[in-house]
Amino acid sequence: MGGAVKRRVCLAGALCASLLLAACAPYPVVPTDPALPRSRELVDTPFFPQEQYQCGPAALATVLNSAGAGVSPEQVQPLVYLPGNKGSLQAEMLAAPVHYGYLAVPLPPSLDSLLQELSDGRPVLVLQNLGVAMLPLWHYAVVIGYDLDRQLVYLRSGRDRRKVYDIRRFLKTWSRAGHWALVAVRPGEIPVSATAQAYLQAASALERRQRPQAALQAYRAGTRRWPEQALLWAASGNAAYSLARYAEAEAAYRTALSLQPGKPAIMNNLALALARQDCRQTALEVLACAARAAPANPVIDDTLLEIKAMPPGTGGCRAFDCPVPGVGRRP
Amino acid sequence: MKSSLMKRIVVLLVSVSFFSTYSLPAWSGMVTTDQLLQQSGALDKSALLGMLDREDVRQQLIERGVDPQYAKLRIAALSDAQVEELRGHIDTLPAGSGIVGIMIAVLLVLIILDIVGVTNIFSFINSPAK
Repeated sequence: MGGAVKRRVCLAGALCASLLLAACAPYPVVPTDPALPRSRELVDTPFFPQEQYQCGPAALATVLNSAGAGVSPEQVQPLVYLPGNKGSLQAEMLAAPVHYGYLAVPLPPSLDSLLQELSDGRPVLVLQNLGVAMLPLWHYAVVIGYDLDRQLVYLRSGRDRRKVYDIRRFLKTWSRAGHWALVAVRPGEIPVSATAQAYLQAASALERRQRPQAALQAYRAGTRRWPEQALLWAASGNAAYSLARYAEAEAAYRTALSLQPGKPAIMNNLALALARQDCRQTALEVLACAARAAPANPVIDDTLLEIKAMPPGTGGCRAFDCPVPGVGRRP
Repeated sequence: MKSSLMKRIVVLLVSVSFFSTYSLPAWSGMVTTDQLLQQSGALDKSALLGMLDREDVRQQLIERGVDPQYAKLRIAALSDAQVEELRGHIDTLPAGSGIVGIMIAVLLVLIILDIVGVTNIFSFINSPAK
């Protein structure tokens, strides 16, 4: 009887010990996407050894060159480096590629997106905190490959052409920087793991830098990938409008409104696109509808003045059904 | 409060010619994509405030050693949300710089952390954890 109890205690002890051991053993890092290849390395990624404090420009030049832009870290430096802070800020790293007509798209903060981009052939610029939370040491590097079987990632980093990281250790330094990552793409190309929102933000930078042609190309690609996103259609309309392609702008705004009926900002822009095509009557109807959705709004009042200053239309324009319930139609 | 408002107004008046080079849409009635992204439902332009914030951040860049010509370019590439992110936080945001040229004292602490295995900065230190 006593022996049996003793044996049970022993068994339980052994079980506990083995559980503890299991908990301590390095558990392999496994991405959730089963379609990812086991390993990939983008060996052709260019390398720019970093000068003092210049990891930002070096990393940015690396991903820009991979995307097709021929720029050097020296050219990028005055666009991102902040001498007083001895470093480069994330917002400016995202904004700078637009000066070369490229998009910088931030990725969802996950290992899966990182590996998906790599397996799709795109090196990923990451922010790492090489220090600890109390004593941060911010560093930009470019991940160029991974090997799940050997649990490694490869980086272009600082003065190392090929820095090899244990994947766990890399993930620690990356998570201390909020898993922040970006990829650079040319207009019309969309990173595989990007969200519609992040992509739209990135593409809008092209429009801001007065590159409507490139912006339109980027938005159009966006509407093909995410046809259900009203804002992408509206943005596409804006870019077409600024290129004086009013019929195209009208069509895009109408699609946006079919997805988000009654949105006053989009109706406001649709009214302008109609007025530019000599459809003043329809334009005024659309604007009246916008005014019903957003009463006494200065933006709509401005638009009304602008449209009234345009020559009256000749008619023959596609009608607009106002989805906003209100106090009856205005003439 | 009042003086800060005055300062803003003066800045606005002085910089009108500068402002005209960015941020204002060429068509006054258009709601720009930036504005579409900012608002969720409400229709509000608030372009004036946006421009003042941009001027603030531009000054901050110049104070931190950026060439004024480039400061102008850099501000023009930022979205309203990014301008907002920088304004007032420019010195607390992470500024990625790398490990080339850090101070000796910091270096020592980091070497110890590296040996213990908390960090992984120096390739010549092999941490025990794996």
